[in-house]
Amino acid sequence: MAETADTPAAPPSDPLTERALDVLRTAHPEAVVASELGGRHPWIQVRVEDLRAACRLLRDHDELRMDCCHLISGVDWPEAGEGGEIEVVYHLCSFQILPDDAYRKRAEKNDPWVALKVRVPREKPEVPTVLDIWTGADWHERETWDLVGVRFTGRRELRRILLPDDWPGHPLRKDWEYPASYHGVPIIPPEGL
Amino acid sequence: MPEDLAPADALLDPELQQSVILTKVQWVKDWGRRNALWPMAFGLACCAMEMMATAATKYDLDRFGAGVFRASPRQSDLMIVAGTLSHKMAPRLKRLWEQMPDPKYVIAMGACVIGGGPYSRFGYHVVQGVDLIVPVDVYLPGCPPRPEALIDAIRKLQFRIQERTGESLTAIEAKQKTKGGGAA
Repeated sequence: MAETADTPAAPPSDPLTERALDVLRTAHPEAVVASELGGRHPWIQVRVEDLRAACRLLRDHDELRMDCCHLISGVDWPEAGEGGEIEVVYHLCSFQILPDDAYRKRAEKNDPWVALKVRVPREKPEVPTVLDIWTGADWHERETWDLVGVRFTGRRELRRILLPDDWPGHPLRKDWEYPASYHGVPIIPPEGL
Repeated sequence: MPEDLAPADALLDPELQQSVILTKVQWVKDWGRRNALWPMAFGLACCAMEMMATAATKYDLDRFGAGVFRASPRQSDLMIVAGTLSHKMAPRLKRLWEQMPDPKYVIAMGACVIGGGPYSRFGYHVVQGVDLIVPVDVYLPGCPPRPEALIDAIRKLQFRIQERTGESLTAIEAKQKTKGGGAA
C-alpha cells in the first residue's frame, strides 16, 4: 500500500523485541533473517541453524531472561518458497522481568514476550529441539509434531500427544485429507474444501 | 402410593381394594427400574458441569431417583454421555457401555454428542454423533442443556422404561395425559 497522508503511522515498536533483536544481531550478525517490531504481535525470524544459539542467548541474557518457552506453534505455508514452507513460532516470555507501568498501559503489546520464528522446507521439516534449553518445551514439540508434522531432531522419542497413535497424517497441514472412517466410525468431511 | 401403581385394581371387589393390590410382576419390575436409575459418573466436557449441577442440591436429581452416580460401569444402568466425544475416546466409551449390566440406557446430552455440534463440520477429531457407537434412548439438545432439560430427559427415559415401547415420546406423554384425564 502506498504511503499517503491518511495512512496511519506505523505502530510503535515493542521495546523488548527491539532489545532482543539488538542482542541477537550483536552476537550472531548472520542469524536474523527478518523481523517485525510493531503491531500486536512482533516477531524475529532467525535461520534454523542458529535457532538453538538464539534461544540460549535470549534465555541467559541478563536483561531479557526469557526463562519460559510459553508456546510452540507450527504454521503451514504450502505456497511459500519452493514447494512450500513450514513455520515454527516460539513464544518466549519471562517470569523474572516485569513490564514497567508505562509499558503496561500501551495498547499494542503489554507483556514481556518475544516471538522467534524459523522456516523450514515442507519436504524436510526438521528443526533442532530446544528441549534441553526449556524442559517445558517437550509437550509443545510433541503437539507441533502431532498436528503440523514438524520433526524435532536431537531429542528423545517424538510421540503424538493429542491424537491417537495410529491417526493418519498431521491434520493441520493444508493438504491433509479427511479419512473416510476411523476404526469403523465414519467421518463426513466438510463440504466445499 | 401413586395411583398408577395398581393397573389391575378395577378387577377387585371394592372391599378388597382396601387391603389388596393386584398388579403384574413385569410392571412392578419396570416401576422399580425407572425409579432407581443409577447413572455412571462419566463426563467428557462442559456438559458434565451441567450434569453435576443437576445432581447437586439446587436441582437435586435424587428427587427422581436418578441421583446415585456410580463410579463403576458395573454398578450403573444409565450412561449420560455429557460432552464432546473424540475419536480417541470413542473406543473407551464403547468399552464402558459394554461393561454396564443389562438393562442399560443411554442419554445423548448436548449438541456434540448428538451430531458433532460445533465441531461437526471442520472438527476432524470429533465423532459425529454418539449413536454411531452405542444405541441412544433419549437425545437431549442444547449447548449445554440446562439442568431442567436433563431432568426432562431423565423423566422421558422413565416413561420409556415404564411403557416398554419404541413409540415417540410425545405419543407416550399424550397417552399418559389422556389416561390421567380419564381416571379423574
